[in-house]
Amino acid sequence: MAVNMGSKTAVKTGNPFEMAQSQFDKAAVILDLDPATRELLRWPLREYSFAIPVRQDDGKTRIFRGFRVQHNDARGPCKGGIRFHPHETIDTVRALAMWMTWKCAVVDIPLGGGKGGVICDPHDLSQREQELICRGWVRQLARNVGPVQDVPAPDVMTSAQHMVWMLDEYEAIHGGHYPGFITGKPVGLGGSQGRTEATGYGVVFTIREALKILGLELKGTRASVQGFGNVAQYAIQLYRQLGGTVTCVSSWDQADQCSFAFRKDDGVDPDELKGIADQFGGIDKEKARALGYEVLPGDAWLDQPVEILIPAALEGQVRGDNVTRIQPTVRLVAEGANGPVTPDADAVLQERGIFQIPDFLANAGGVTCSYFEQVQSNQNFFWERDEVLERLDKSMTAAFHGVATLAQRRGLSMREAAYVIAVSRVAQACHERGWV
Amino acid sequence: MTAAGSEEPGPLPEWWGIFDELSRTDPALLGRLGRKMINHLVWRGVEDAGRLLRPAPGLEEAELDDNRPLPRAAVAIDSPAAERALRLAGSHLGGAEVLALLQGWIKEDKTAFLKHAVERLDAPLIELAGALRRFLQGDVEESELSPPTRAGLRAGLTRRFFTDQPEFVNAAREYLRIEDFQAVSRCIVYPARNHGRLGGKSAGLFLASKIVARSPGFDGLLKDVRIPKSWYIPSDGLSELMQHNELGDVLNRKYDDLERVRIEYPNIVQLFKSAFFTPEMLRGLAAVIDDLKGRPVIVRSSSLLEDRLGSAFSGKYKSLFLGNTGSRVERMRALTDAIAEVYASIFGPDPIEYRARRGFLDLHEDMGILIQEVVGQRVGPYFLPAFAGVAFSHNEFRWSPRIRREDGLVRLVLGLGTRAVDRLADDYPVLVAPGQPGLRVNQTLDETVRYAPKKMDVINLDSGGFETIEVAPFLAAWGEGLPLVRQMISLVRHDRVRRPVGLLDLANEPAVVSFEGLIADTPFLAQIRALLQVLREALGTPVDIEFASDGERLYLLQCRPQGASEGATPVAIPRDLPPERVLFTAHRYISNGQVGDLSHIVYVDPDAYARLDPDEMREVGRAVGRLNRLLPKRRFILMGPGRWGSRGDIRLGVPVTYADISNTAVLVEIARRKDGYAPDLSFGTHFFQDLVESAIRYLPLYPDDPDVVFKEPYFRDSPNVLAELLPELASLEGVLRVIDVRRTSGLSLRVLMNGETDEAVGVLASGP
Repeated sequence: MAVNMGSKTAVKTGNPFEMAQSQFDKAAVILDLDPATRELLRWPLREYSFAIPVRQDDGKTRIFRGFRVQHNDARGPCKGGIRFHPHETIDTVRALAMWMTWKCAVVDIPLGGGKGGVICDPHDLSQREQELICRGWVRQLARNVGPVQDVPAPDVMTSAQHMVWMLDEYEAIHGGHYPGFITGKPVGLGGSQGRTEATGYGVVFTIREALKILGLELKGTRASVQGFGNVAQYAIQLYRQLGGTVTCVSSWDQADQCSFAFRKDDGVDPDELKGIADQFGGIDKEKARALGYEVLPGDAWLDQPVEILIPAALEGQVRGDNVTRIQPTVRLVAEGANGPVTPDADAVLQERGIFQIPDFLANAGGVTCSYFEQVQSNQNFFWERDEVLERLDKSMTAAFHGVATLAQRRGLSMREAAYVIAVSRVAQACHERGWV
Repeated sequence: MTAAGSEEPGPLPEWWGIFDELSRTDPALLGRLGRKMINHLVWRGVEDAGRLLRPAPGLEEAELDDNRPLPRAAVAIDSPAAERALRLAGSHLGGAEVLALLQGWIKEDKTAFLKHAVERLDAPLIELAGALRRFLQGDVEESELSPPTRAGLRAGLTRRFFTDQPEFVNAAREYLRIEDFQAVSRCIVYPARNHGRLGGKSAGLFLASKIVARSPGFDGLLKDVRIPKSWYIPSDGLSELMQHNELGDVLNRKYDDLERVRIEYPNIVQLFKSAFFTPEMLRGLAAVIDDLKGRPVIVRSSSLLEDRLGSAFSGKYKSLFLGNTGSRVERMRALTDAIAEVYASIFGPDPIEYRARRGFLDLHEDMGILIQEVVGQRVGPYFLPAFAGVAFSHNEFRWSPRIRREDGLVRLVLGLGTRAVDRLADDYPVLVAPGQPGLRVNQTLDETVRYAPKKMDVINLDSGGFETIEVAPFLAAWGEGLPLVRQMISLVRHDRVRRPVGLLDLANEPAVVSFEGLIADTPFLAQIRALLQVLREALGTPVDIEFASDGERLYLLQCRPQGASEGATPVAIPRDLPPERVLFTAHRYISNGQVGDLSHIVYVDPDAYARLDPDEMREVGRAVGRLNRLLPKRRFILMGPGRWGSRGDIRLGVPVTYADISNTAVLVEIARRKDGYAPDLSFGTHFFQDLVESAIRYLPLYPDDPDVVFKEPYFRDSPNVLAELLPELASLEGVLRVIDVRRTSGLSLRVLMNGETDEAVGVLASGP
């Protein structure tokens, strides 16, 4: 998700890559990068575009277009998802690949950024045809991807099953087992334990560290969470374990097609709520009422008198028109979702001195765990869940402090600092390698 | 002894034996045979034969006068006349053929009683059943009858037992045999004076079952398809019940105004439930109860009007499930209660309103009853089929351009098929196209889980009644006892859905109903395809069928022409529409449907939209959601670029959820050519099953196709009432346009779609 850095002046071309470049340009100014480095980092290093012929179930052959953009691998092999979408454009993919470079750099894992996909719609394809597309993608790129070059992952409309097919094809071509080639695999076939909790826990690790900076004890703080999906559920779980109290959770009601907020001043019980929620975190409001929760309109999560707000649902939820509802008690907003705060609201939050943990730092638990999957796969030895989560904690804590220290020292917002630190790390790597 | 009149002595003709015998024992029959022979000869062009029919000599032609009617010739065929006829025939046709003809006619004569029974419209069905029995026990085979006689009998029996609808009778003549009618008659519960018919549902199902049984080929796929054990109450059962209980007044209730009907209906139900059945009926029903041996049963209406009004109507009458548990007395009581309630449902507000609206109120409604064993088996405390559903010859809800209408559609559910037949307000069936089983509606994990069925209908054997329960607890508690469970569910992990392989622990592993295994590994879909094909060819029209499986066999539960189901009729597109009133046309991927009386168009301008940044795009999405809540339900259409529902950083469509579009009548996606290719539209896949259950129509427009109309200036330049409706969103005026069609032109918008000819048009019209 493209980050907004004071985008009141962001270029309004609508072209995502140009927007990503302009954000980079701002960071480059702050970092005073030389022209050659700017030029190198503004554009992907390598782009592949290729054809995947597939004989479909009806006997007719159709040619699909696939591609992979490797933005930068100075710090390590590229990392990034493969998406199936009928209207992929190269500019979107370039923007996303660049975004991955910064994301890996901000959380300080030794990986670069990449992204790729195939122009197709799985709704128009049978399982067998999708398998052929996956294998065809790998066949075309087998020489240019791999555990030490470029490590793909699932993305829009691709799943663990697609990853396994791709791994199988890669291994057939290279004649060996290379589980480190791709992430997002099922546990038991090279996937990592702790993946389900990773993003949610990661948010709380950053919250914990941010509170230290604010001089607040986590124990005794209250939080309000938007969303009750995977990220929110595990974030609430860990936050409570560490002594925090979540007083309000909002979730989407599929039947009523709107959201509701569930409040309990002495603390919501996520296990209890999970018991009455569907697979997507849609909480049954009748059952919740019966359990003693107050059922309020969905956006009530925003005006709770808590210290911490965790938007962990969709983008664009805290906007210019509702940011004023945030109570004076709120000290911290941790972005569990991608892009939940619009630039307008961002400015207001900054003015009010509310500490913001930007999305690509707060929810980086996921990509960090992806990295761990790759590490474990490469050594063919898999850690227990606790070990994974311990390492996650260390990694995210260090990453957070790196950003926070920079923000403080240079008088930047957390968002700006995160971006800047990422670019800086990549630029350094390029210099040290002698590229520029 | 030489034959009279012949000049030479010679061997006796082959037919002599018969002639001699009959002239002594059955001169009447001989006379009939003689007459038949003469007719036959005349028909064959033998001149002399005509002479045998001429008037008695003496009446000269000259005496015949133009102004006076011709005198009737005396055509009494006595033995000598018959002999003359036979000899003439023998000399023209040969003795052997004459013998064969005689033998055939004698056989047919033996069965004349059946013909008479069939033709006597006032003969009770019981008598007809008796005649059938006699025929089948006799020594004349159906195959020995002449083809016209055979066809006549079959058609006659069909008309007496089932219906006189021509299409049905045609098909019945071809596929039903006389012995089939006896089988039916054995399962009829006879009211005292029974002249009624069995009604549309019973007829349709019975005919379908015979068509299927008698269609060879398909690699034996169809040989195990059955129908459940059924019993029939003919249509005069209702009038008998009403007469027996002095309920005649109720008949005129249908002329009351609707509100009164609605209020009084529960009382009418009570009246019927306390009615007394005649002893004949009770005896018949007792036999049914005994035959059922305690298995659950469904009591369904089988109305005669269904034939004329189509199946959009039949759903308005009740169907009732019975657990059929308890003592014999309790079971009889439950059965008679159910029958009474089904009868009472004729007088319910919904059917009356439906008929009134279509001008059929005056027609005398007669209803037969179909009592069917419920397909299934016991699982835990419940009785249910492994799975059930509905299948359509034509698919009017295609989720991919690769699916053609002829690929058909199946709606599948766990348990009783009631949840597949009706549209569901809060749940979804599993959809699959038999012609393209590989293309599933739901691809991602999210979709598969969200749109999986959450509830199921069963019969609770403890309470003896029909119940809706939740799938998840059922699977956890009883799933492993459910037949075919491995083929019907998939296991859910956080990152993928997979089919069960190896150990299965339903008590602890979350599962969803997906029918993956059923579709991929069993002959089920092939059987459905075969059924749809066979029935469509035999009945000459696309069909929709209801089916259920007990885990071992597939059962057909109902069969009716698809054209009659709601919203599936192709709409005639008028050829002479004034061009200035046509707003858009389309000719690709069209499904049947029509919506009229549309007052508003919500139009997202594709070009302006493409220039927005992601935040602004989301604002447009939110604005559409607000309009959805504001505009009159189902009286507006949504038109936008690309793929409605696209989220995230995929920008070629307006980011909305189903809640933001749930009240539209039609969802239109506009595909403009870009850089030489037309982008793929979504076909509504982001919320496809929600669209299906709400009957929201989908229409793709390709304005750059040749021969297609797209009045862009109308959409772009008509007055935009967005600012009026939602002043705070006025800044979106350049992208989001709301056109009040009535105000702009005094007309309303009508969208007509014809899937057969692949044509659709949006036109301004006066009136609805």
